[in-house]
Amino acid sequence: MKTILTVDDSPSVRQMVSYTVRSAGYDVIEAKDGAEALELAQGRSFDMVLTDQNMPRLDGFGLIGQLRNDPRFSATPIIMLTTEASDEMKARGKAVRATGWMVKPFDPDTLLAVIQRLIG
Amino acid sequence: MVAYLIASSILLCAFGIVAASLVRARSRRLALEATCSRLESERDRALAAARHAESDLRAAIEHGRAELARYLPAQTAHVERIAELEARCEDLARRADAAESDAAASRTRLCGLREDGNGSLGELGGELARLRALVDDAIGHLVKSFTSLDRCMREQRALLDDAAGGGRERHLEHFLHEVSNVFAQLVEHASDSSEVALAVAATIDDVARHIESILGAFDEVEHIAEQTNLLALNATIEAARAGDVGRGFAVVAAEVRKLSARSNDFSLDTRRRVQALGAELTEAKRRVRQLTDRDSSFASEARASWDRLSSEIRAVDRDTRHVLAETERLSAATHAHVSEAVTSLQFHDLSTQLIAHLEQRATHLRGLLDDGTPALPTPLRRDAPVHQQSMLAGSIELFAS
Repeated sequence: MKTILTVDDSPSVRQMVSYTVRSAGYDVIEAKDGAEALELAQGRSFDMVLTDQNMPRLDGFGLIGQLRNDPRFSATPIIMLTTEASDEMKARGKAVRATGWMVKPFDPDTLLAVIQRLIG
Repeated sequence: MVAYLIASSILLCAFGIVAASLVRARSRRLALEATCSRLESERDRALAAARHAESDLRAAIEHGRAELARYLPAQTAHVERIAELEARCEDLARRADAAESDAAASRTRLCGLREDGNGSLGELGGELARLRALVDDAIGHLVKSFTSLDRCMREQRALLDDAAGGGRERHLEHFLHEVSNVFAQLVEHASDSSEVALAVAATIDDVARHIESILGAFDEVEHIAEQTNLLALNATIEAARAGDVGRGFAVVAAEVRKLSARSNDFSLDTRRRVQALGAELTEAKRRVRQLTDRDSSFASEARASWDRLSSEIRAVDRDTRHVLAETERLSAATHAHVSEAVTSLQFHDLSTQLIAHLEQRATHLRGLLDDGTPALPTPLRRDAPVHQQSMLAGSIELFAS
């Protein structure tokens, strides 16, 4: 079973992402910010990461930057799932090698379609 | 004479004066002539210079005219612009004066408002915290409810898929066929049973006839017992007549009467039992007849009933399949609505971020109101982190690697 790491400081978003991807047969690990996500990533790898941008301790850009430095995550699909929608923020996301950018709120079926496309 | 002398003197004086004047006039004429000739030569030079200057001046005028023609419109526009700017300056000056007086009034008001503002901002902070707590609590329940609804809906759909799925119709047809076979066998057995029942009824009639003849035999037995009793009674009378000789015979005759009475009792008892048996046989025959009557109509009724029932089952099956299709359509619609709800419920994340931004702004404002310096160490983000105007799903972009 493929495992997805979802990183968001909003419990409701974590809850809804988890429910959506679990219903499609994926396993989910939740982290409430970038720092917790990095701790989880020390011990294991993930097939895909969905992360918010604005979070306490470590934001989405910081998380992606550090994950990309780890050879285990250099090719892992990482999608930003955030309320931020400006071209400037997207350019920064692209600069830290995010795989894609989804603007909240997300539609469950669309999210599943993106996941299906990226990791099958 | 005196007058003559005076007049002569005057004339002499005048003459002298005229003579002197003539001399002076001559010298002055000479001087003037010299001056005239100098002036004429100067005039000629001046004229030449003037002509030269005139031609220069004309050229300059032409040039000036050309320049003027070039700059005049711009100049006119500048003049107009200057006039306009002057008017605006005056207006601004007036407004500045008004603003200054307003500002003085505002400063006074501001001092009052600052205190109110500080109080309100404190309350705002508390209210925002309460709002956040309320929204957090509500959203937790809502998300749980909707995800549970979606889960139930999926389970229901899976059950319906099982119920409506592969070969259900075929199974039903097989079932109806099997039941028809069972009914055919049942009808056959019922027919067999009916024949058996008829045979049983005939046998019961035979037994009843035998019972009747047995009852007739009991009449004979009772008649014999009565006759025996009479004979014994007579024997007893004759024995009494014979005296002592007949005493032994009297004992025998008494025993014969007892035997006759017992025989009669036995016959009556047996008759009652046989009559009871006859009544039971009559009841059995009635029941067998009922059974026969029922069995004979049962076969055709059962067949007709089963035909009706199976067509009703098929109709119910058609209705059920229609309901299943409708339910499946409703399930799909429910799934779509739940997806929409999951999208909409993300308002919590958006509103939480906006509330946090408002709290930062309130803190910043409080600092400004307190001592004119922002309370936050880092510069306040001017734009909110959320710009969404509705809860429609956001855009998606996959970056080319």
